[in-house]
Amino acid sequence: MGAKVLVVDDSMMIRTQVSKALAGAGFAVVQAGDGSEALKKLDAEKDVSLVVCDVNMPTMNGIEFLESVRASEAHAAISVVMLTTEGQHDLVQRAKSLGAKGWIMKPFKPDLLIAAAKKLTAAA
Amino acid sequence: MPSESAFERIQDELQNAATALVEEGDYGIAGFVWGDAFEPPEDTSVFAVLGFSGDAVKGAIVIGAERAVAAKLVPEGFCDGEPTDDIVCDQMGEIANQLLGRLKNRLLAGGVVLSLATPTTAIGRRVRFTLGAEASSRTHVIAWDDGQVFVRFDAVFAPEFELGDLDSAPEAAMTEGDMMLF
Repeated sequence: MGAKVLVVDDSMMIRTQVSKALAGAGFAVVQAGDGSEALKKLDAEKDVSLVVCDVNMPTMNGIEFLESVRASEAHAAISVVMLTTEGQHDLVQRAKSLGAKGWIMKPFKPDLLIAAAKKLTAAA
Repeated sequence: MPSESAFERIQDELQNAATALVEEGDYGIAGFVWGDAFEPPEDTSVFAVLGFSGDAVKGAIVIGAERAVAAKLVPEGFCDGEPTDDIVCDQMGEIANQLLGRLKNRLLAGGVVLSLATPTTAIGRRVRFTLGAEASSRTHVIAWDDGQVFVRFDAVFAPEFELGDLDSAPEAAMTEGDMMLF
């Protein structure tokens, strides 16, 4: 089994579709429904290499999750790429300044997502 | 209230967003038309409501379809057997999310910045949505051989609301489906 990816989105549909695409390419996948749940998953699953994370989510949104990850010594090295409907350039720049490795616009193209995941987990 | 032309331009962009979403998505919708002839669904139906707010505008979109139609919008092979209520509701919520996301990205070019909420979904019979006294509203229908989805746009506009030229800043937002690695 390949590198482990955490998929974070409040939509079960998106989590399932992203997970299927990544699992089909050999990645191990775990899921979370919002940023708060994702932080708990990172603590529980010690070997996550990449997080694919939505922006607009209840409880803790993707930007807040990114801030928490970067502030955590245990998780600061994990690559995070955003997967979202948000296309505002200043939001993209905000995520970049917080250490995100990429920004993917929904609806995602499976081949692009897989290529990004392979590149980012190979660099880890 | 926005000028009539600004409201109509928003409806045009909503149509563009819906058209692009249907054409690019895996919803199994072919040969659809966009219209304004709306009949409220009577059978058990699924609804998604998604709010938004900006400096001079706030409102929500509501999308809805009879459950049997909404179930067909779930990608083939997504689940074993018929999709559950949770799956159908989730799919409608995500459709509303991507539809409003596209509209938001387009309105950025006109200087309108919206913050989006997260979708709320519901399932039931003979559901009717009320409208606030100050709100402007328009209901559209995406219709094809297998059914229809209604798309309702509700908004309250402050007197100072302005919508600039949407073609003046074509790169105001990233394009749906694109990816950028840093």
